[in-house]
Amino acid sequence: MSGHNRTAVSKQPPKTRRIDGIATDLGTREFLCTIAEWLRREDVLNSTVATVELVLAEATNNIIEHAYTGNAGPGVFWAELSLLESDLEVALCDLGRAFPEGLLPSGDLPDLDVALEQLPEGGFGWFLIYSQTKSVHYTRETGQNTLLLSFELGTDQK
Amino acid sequence: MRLNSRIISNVNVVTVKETRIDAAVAIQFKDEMRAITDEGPDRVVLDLSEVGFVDSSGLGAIVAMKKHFGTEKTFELAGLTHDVAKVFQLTRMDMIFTIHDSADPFTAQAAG
Repeated sequence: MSGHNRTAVSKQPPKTRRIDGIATDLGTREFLCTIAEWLRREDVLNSTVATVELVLAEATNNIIEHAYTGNAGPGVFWAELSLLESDLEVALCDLGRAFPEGLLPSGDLPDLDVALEQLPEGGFGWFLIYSQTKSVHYTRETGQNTLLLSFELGTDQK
Repeated sequence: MRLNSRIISNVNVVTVKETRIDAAVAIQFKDEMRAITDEGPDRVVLDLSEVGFVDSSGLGAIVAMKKHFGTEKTFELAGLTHDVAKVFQLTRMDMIFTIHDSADPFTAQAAG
């Protein structure tokens, strides 16, 4: 991009950061705020920070509701963030239950063409995750779920 | 969860005095909304101008309120910030709600 101050003649190694969270609603909040703070400090655009925060909120809510449901105590999760030249990659990991059959859920938007009393109050999470990311990959290895999410950093203003 | 209710010209303008409506407060939001709107005007305007973040749990809680009011009360939204408006657009919930740019016209009537 012209007018950009970061003239990387030799390629910089990606900036990385690991952030840990506790699988409770308030733990998720703290986790998301820490990530947003770090991204802002690294000069990531506000609109991109908002997108990343929304997607990670949906993905961690899913960990709490499904991966760790029925557990005695709250589980843990963590994100490994890598800030590349034009992308942000986030590996979101937990030690909870695997996705059924090792497959990610579908991300269809719930039908809104229904009577008022049948309007959906949920089912938007995976739609938001897929629609706001460049790619989503899931792996399960030795008791660990890893959701690899990639985002375009974007160049628009504000 | 702090909600501020002002009844002006027979409209209940409820301002959310929090920066987030997320999974941590979704149930509380519904409970307190019900309590604060139980009595009073049949028109409720939810002022979201101080809210910078809504996830699908928060969105679901707002939808739940619309269903709660049913045909008995009108439930409208106002003052959506950029990132909150985006969640409504992405999920097409902007087609389901009447959304005002600001709650100011409803509260300004007090002076006139």
